Amino acid sequence: MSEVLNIFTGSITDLWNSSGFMNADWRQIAMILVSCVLMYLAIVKQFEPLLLLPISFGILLANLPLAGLGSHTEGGLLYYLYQGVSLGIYPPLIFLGIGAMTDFGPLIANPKSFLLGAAAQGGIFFTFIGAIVLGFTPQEAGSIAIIGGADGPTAIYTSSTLLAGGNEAMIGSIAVAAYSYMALVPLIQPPIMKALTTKKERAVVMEQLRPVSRTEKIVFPVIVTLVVSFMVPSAASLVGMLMFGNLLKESGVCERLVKTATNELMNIITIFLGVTVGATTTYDVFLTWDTIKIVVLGLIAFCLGTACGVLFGKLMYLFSGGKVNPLIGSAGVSAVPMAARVSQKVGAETDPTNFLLMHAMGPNVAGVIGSAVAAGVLISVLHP
Amino acid sequence: MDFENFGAAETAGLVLTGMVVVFIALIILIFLIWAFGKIMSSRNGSSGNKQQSAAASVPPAPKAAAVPSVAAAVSDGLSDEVVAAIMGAVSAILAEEGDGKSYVVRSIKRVRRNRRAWGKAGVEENTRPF
Repeated sequence: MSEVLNIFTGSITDLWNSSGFMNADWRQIAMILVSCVLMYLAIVKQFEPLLLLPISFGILLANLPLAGLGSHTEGGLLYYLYQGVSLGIYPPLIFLGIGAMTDFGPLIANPKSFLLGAAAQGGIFFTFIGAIVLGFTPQEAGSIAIIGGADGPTAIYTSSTLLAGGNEAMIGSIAVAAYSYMALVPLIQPPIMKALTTKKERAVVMEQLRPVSRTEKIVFPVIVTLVVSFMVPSAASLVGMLMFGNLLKESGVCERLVKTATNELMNIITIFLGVTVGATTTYDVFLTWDTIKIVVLGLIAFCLGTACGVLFGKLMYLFSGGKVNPLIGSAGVSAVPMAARVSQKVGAETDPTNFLLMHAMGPNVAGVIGSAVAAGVLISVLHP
Repeated sequence: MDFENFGAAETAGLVLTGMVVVFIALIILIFLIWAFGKIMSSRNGSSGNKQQSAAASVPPAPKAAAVPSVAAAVSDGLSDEVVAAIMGAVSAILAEEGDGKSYVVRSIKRVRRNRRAWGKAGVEENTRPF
């Protein structure tokens, strides 16, 4: 009987010693708390829940003591799923779904919106300077600066390409920062937009957009793919898949494929991408000064992007003789459709009858193309 | 590029390259999309003119002429679908009654319903085979 008791107590002691309670680092507990805060934001505050929830649970999984579930821990489930990120597969597939959901009509109706989509990319390049000054390598600086593109898949694609074989652990922090700021667009943008514009400018009512024919909508994705891919081949996989998805939608003859691209495929990839990107943030790489610098630089990139867009909007306001409302410029940072909604909301605060949403959608979707081009430039110049 | 000695000149060079390439790419797109839009509208415009001249040779239809003005008057605040549905209903009644009669809307009354529309649809669906 005493032998049985000895075996029992011995087993219990072994179990206790090999349990998470005995092997947890305080930093793992801190990361689990961070993941709980992010889960709270996703579920209760509904900040981009479709991505933030998988990411936050990925953080939790990666920081379980002894479980070995981090995306960089070879052999685990998440390690294999993470190959889709490190090989640059998931972001273009997400773009396929986004393309199949996006209506480029407002941009085709008012092609000048492209300028605002380009101007808002200023945030990316100006932040690059800041990151270099803070001592990051050029590849790291490019990966951090792309947060200013306000586009999650583009940020992940660029950082995973630039950091391959280098400081890959940074990808998680960049993705978390990018998605957090995208969720915070309604808080970050309005003060900048109001500070840079006068009441008169905010009250500009824009002319109604012309209707766009089906032929134009079908030809648009082909033109964009050709122009962008010929100019910046490294942007081809992002822009190509975005436009492929859009062509499926606009052609009107591939409904089943559109349904799959926008629902099943997109949802599966979102789950894989979110949870594995979250799981890159193991405590040893996330709780560092670099993460704090990334978070601060990301915010600066976002603010600068918004400011560049609004300032270029002011320029267009001047040159058009007051026909362009500068508020639509801030939508050029991408973050579809949240940034366009913010333009609409701030415009409606000045004049409740002013309906800017469709006008802001032009720069908004142009921003997606603009960020992809900017990513292509960064990759082709900085890829080691 | 020498990544080991990435100094101020390289950084400024990359920022300039980036902004210029992004702008050039998107300006080319603006030009192409604008040009394509012009071609499309000129083609549609010429076919539209043809249609107009064809319509002019046909005797004018009074009802068709009246419809757009009514639609324009009521469309404020209503979605196109609602206007289309109302116009469809009005046209159907006018077609049943025949041309040449004029109507004036004197009052609008709420229809009393015993069942809600969805309920009615459900009953119809279930009783259709009988």
